[in-house]
Amino acid sequence: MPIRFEGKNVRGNALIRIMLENKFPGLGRLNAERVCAKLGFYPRMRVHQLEEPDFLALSKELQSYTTGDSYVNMIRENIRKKRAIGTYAGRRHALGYPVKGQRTKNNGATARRHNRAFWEPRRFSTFRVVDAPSVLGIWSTQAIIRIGFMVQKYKFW
Amino acid sequence: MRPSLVACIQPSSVLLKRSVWKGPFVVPLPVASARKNNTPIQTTARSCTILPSFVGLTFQVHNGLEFFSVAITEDMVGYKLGDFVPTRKRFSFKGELKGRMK
Repeated sequence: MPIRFEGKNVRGNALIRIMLENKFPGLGRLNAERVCAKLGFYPRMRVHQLEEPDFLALSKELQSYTTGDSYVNMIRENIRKKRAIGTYAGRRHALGYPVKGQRTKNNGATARRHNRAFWEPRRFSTFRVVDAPSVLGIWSTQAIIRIGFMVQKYKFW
Repeated sequence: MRPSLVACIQPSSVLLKRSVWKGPFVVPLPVASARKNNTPIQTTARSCTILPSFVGLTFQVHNGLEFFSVAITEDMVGYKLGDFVPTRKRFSFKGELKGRMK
């Protein structure tokens, strides 16, 4: 039975610390346990055992941590800063290579997966029109995005 | 009690980098005279930390082959000099370069 908490659907029979860890990026196992300990939720307690005041206390407690979108943005901002001033780490992020001195003869898969796709915002996103007029169908919006991408990539102007 | 719960108070990751009593790693450099004469500082000390007093100066940092000019800005404080000077070229085929020249 899903429960609504902080705008997320939470599984009722999940352990609280596991729920916190999974639904709030940037919190981590240690901080999740810390929050539970502070609010007096024992380690095997599950989400459906919480009452309304417990949820309120939990969301109030979570405000003191950087989680969710603000956490992801913080990391993106750090990486962007490194790229802007041209450090070695920033350059490695831009190339999609491992940053912390790992080998690149083989085994760069994790870096390839993370360094470009996740932390860097989508290349298309700047061209996406949020309040597109209803005249534009899906296909034409796609076309605009496509043209924008071509302009950026191949320098057609 | 679980050990992870016991370790509730821990220093932040900034403090975990290097002991504070050691201070930043710095090599003696002619900063004062460079500021007076407005000349670049030529150095091979790539591991020297960039201090706030370096801001506005130009360094020529060795990359293993030649000295590479770097203008120090405020954002660069706290990083190393060698962070801004790559030591390796990116691999490219000879044919690829020729194609680009055309």
